[in-house]
Amino acid sequence: MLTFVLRRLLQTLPVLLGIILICFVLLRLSGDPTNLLVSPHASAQERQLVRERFGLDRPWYEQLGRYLRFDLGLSYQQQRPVAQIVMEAAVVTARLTLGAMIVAVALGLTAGMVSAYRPNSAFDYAAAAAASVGVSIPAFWLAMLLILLFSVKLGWLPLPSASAPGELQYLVIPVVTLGLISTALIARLTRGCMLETLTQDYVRTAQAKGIGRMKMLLGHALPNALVPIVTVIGTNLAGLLTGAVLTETATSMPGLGRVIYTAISQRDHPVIMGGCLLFAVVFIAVNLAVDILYGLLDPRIRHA
Amino acid sequence: MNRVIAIVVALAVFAAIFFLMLSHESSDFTASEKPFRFPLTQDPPTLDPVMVTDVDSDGIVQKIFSTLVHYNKELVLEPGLAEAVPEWTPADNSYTFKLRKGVKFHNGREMKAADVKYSWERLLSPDVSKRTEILTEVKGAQELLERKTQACEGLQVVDDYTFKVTLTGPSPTFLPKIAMCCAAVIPKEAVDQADQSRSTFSQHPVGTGPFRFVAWQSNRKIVLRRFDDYYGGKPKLDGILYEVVPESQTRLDRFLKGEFEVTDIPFGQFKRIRGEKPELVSENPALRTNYLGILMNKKDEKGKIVPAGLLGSNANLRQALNCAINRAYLCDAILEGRSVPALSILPHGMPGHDPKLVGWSYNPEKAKALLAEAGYPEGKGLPAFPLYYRKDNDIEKVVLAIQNDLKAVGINVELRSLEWGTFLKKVYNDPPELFYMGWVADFPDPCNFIEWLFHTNQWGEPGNETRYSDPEVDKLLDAAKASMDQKFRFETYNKVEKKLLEDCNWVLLEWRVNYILVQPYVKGAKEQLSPLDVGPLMNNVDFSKVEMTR
Repeated sequence: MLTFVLRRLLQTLPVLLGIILICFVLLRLSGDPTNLLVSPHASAQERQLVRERFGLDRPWYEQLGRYLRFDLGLSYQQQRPVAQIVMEAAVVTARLTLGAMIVAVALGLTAGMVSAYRPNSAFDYAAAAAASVGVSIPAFWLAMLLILLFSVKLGWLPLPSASAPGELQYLVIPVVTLGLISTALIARLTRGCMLETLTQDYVRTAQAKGIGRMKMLLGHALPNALVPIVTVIGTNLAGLLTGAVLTETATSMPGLGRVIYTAISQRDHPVIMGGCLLFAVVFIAVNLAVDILYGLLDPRIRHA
Repeated sequence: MNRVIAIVVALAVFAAIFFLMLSHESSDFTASEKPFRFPLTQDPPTLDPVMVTDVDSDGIVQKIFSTLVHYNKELVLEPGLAEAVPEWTPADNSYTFKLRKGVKFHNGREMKAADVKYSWERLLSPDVSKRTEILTEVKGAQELLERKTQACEGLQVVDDYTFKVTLTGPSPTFLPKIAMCCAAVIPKEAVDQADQSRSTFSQHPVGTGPFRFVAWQSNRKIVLRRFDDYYGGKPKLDGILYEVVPESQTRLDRFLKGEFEVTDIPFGQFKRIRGEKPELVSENPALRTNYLGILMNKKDEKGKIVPAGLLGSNANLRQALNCAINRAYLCDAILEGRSVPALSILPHGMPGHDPKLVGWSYNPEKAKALLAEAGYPEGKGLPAFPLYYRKDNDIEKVVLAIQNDLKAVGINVELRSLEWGTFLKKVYNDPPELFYMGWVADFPDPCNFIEWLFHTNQWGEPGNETRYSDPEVDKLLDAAKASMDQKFRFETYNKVEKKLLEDCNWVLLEWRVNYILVQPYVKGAKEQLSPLDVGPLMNNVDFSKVEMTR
């Protein structure tokens, strides 16, 4: 198992380097940020001083070298260490993503199992319809609808506020918005995988021996259907992080998505780089965790 | 079965972590305190006066800092940290400021003349300042900018409460420029302290304004508290809370629920709100003209100025463009009545604005005739002009209407949007023949439009983006710049403006009116709004006099 983990860790290094290189090249292609850092009336000398201050006068390989050493430097706009800005926002996004994942997994697995338990029933059709709607709705639109209904019309929840991003009542709408989108996917996949597992010979054997339907579903079908579901949950967790960009903007959450969105509009290259790096690390870590979980769920994969 | 239990346990653990991550923050103000609450669309780029180039930062900085002089709502200069607005001394081109005694910084220390010198020399340091141009007329400023000296010769501390500024020549715009927030007075020790703690002054601003800085949580909020020792008298409000709310609809919803004292009005909702809740709408004209810029000239290989492109060399075509645009429709229908048609370069409300000076009005028949006179009857043979603009939903609506108007007379334009930084770079370095732009006055003086945007010395990036060049105009502008006679200056600027309107290097579009929503219980704020106030942050309002009667 240790060799497996070490091998996967080594494989992630070139991926990370590739991401840094691609981000660096794309940001350089977007032009010189000096124009936004100085007055429109600044002289060539003033522009040069600013370029020196932010290291923009250094050769490209030196600038790239700094990022490869994970030295993200100062934000052009906030003049604060990028690591500090990114980490502050990451806490907000982590809270949001974790909450959304709990909603998605709990609702998705339950709905999927009930649909598989009673296939082609009214609940199954309703769940399928709800799932189609769920995967089709853009996050920011769903957030606006929920705000309109629960905050403006009914007044049950407060309107989005950036000043209290850690309080439960302010988290309900963004967490539900983000969670519902993944719920649909997990529910449909759980249903499909479980129905497929139910056609296997060992399930038929268990049924022949007189096992109860519930025990068969939870004890035999679900554990064996879990491998693809865990994959989707893993990739979805990373997807939730990036999906948070729109949800955070629509619900005023001061998370990583908002920080990157603002940094892009202000062409704050170090912050964009910091945010992308953090996203990349999370994606890699989640993929690694999923691979390890595979090994635990299906020992055949570990030995392959 | 064990795997199912493992999943349930994992979910329970995640749920526990989630609940542990929840936090309840103590409020920045007690229940009995009433802060004035502003929404922000995003974090301001800076709270350091010498770095302010945008309206949002300016709005907050003006609450924390004070300047020696400032403008009142009638756009008349009033004393701020100075006891009086100083008179110009022609003998040595100087101004002598008598400073108020007993003015305290937020750190408790008394402000003295040495602080003004330090603040202005910092404003002249290109490694920290983005606004060095404000003090370029000061004697010795150029040497300091070029780092030939450590101190500026023209900034002189006479005694603790007397500060003398010597200029290189007469400058009628020196006082208007130092009324900008960038010339605010700051304490050196606060800058040093921020540097020592590896932070920045922008993160820990200390000034002499009516409110002192308490906290800035990036992308969330900025908290200011009342400064009881404010030289203008103890402010009536307990504090000011700025909260970042990127969604315009959420800002409006929260305002209507009474969670903000003021807000902007989202596009598409202006007419409805003005109809349903007129008592909440506040209106003030802004010193802003939006226009289409036409590239007039370029420099050839030898550096000689020659006409650029078809539009730059054909006055009839430029006039046809000016006659083809239905400005009234643009302002009423497209901009929902937030603007009025621009009749001249100087917006109404700007000192020196002459209402008798009127540019071209909408006349499609005349536009067609001018087009024929230019050699392109019904637009036949005329190439399509690319029209560049900043990528922005509202600007897109405006340029689409313009495209339709021009097409109706036979002029085709291709719309090309660019992100703001790239757009500016294009206009500065590789100017297109036609581009959409706007200019907001930095200070209320016609030179801020007429000289900054049309003098040959301002070629390109410094302001003359249309590369207009006329030696006669330059001579007149130089004469106005060197004169302290306001009447002569304004007459000269009017003369130049008349010539500019004839030459048509701008297609005038609209003068923007600043509409915001203000709660009815706010007293003393909208009454102070001036044409310098753009947006909902009430930048130039003296907030020490504002109160809430809830």
